[in-house]
Amino acid sequence: MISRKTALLRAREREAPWTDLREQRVLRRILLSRSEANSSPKPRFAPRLYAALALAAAAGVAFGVWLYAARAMHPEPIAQAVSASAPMRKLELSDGSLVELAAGADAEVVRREPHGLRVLQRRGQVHYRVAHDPARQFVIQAADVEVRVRGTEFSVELSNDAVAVHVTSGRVEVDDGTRVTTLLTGEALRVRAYSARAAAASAAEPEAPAPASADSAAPAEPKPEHVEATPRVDSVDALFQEVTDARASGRSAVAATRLREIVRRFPRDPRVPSAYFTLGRVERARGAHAAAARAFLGCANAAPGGTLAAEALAEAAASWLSAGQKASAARVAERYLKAFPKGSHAARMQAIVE
Amino acid sequence: MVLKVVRREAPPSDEALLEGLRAHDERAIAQLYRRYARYVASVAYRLLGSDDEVDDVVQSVFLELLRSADRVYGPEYLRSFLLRITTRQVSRRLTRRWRSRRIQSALALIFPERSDPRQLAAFDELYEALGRLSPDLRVPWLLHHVEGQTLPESAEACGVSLATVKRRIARAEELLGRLFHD
Repeated sequence: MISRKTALLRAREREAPWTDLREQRVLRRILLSRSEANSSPKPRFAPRLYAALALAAAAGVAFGVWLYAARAMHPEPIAQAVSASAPMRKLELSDGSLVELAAGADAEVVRREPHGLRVLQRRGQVHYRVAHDPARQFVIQAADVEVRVRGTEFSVELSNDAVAVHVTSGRVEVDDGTRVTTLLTGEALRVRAYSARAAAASAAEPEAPAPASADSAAPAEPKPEHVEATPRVDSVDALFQEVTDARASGRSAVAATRLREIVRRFPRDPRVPSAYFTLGRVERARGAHAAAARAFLGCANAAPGGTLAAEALAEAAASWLSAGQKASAARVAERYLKAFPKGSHAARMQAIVE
Repeated sequence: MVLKVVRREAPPSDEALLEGLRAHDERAIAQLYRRYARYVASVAYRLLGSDDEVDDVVQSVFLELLRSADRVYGPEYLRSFLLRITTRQVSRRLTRRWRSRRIQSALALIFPERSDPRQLAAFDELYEALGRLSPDLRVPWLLHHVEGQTLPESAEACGVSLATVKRRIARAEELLGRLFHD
């Protein structure tokens, strides 16, 4: 038997015998492989053919698995914008869930996996009858609010600044980015569509929020209708750790909440630009493009001369475009071109401006 | 005597090199490689437990980086991206070794045992014990306990959930526990 401490210390100290000569040799191989891949046509004949034949059975199985996965991941619109005069549309999803869109509503399945399904509701009222499956989580995302169910009947209405959830039967979790509320049969909840800070920013210029150096007051907490205690975390490091844990376990709403908490409670911390940038990425992955744009702008405003500023502005412009806000996208793209005329995204930003 | 002041150019930032990579600038590729090759080689060495395939791993990692440079959102994610690719490349090689060893063990039941000249000498008892674990258990354990990655970072590098990585590290710990006396 050996000492654990000694064994780990020895292992950590091991460095590869990496000499300059070796480094140069591997670099040559990399550059050669790269130029071979770029220039030489693929051979057509026997050796590859025999190898392909030998692998045919395995490839057939792999193809079947891929096909299943591709279908599972392929986004499928429930419905695009329905005109105000169109009657309510009923659609049945492949798992037996039923979705009813009122006139003017817009929703889309953005992710489908064996253990979960995510619907992005962009506007209007949608009534959901979710087929019961305890192993599968059905998530509706309406602006910054997530509604999570495992089999129930409820409606979600998204207006300009609020999300209203009404449960007809079953149990539903509503996560508005600051707290999670469980609703039971017959209960209803109305929450802000966007978190308080983002809501203030969206009411003003699209290029909000203001730089971190300003003496901006912390935004008011939304008044809760259902209260659920969340333990207060007192350091930026601990909050970042929670963000990492949340992202690793797929809880993007929690990650977004913690990132907003970092920038709100510690506006002068040097990691605020990074927190904003990560928030942008999290929001974009959730399909909340407007929120993503605001977060990326927050990064650029917090550190206009920082290493993330150029990327943040480019991402903000792209996110505004994805959110359908062409004018805002063009304004941010112009700001990028002014600050980084020779930046790597200049051509793309120019295209947005034009 | 004349003093000549030579103004050296500041080394390019990771951000600039990443942009060069995306633009297929060979100079940027070489500079980025030189900056990170030793890191990738050392991680590969510690995960593999031998020097045998380190060059191949480093080559594969940087070729994959060249192919996927667009997926690296920014320079602050470069290191974790490299770790993820390195982990994947090492896991493939360890899995091949593991399967080959299992086949050999199975064959040894039928055929007389012979010493395998390709058998690699372990660094020490720790790596000898790690060699008996499946790569699924060995790699996350090494990432967490030797490379110092947090559990979420280890999960991301291995491409599994946090719960899975915790389970695998705990199982590896259980199997290795008999090796340690403290």
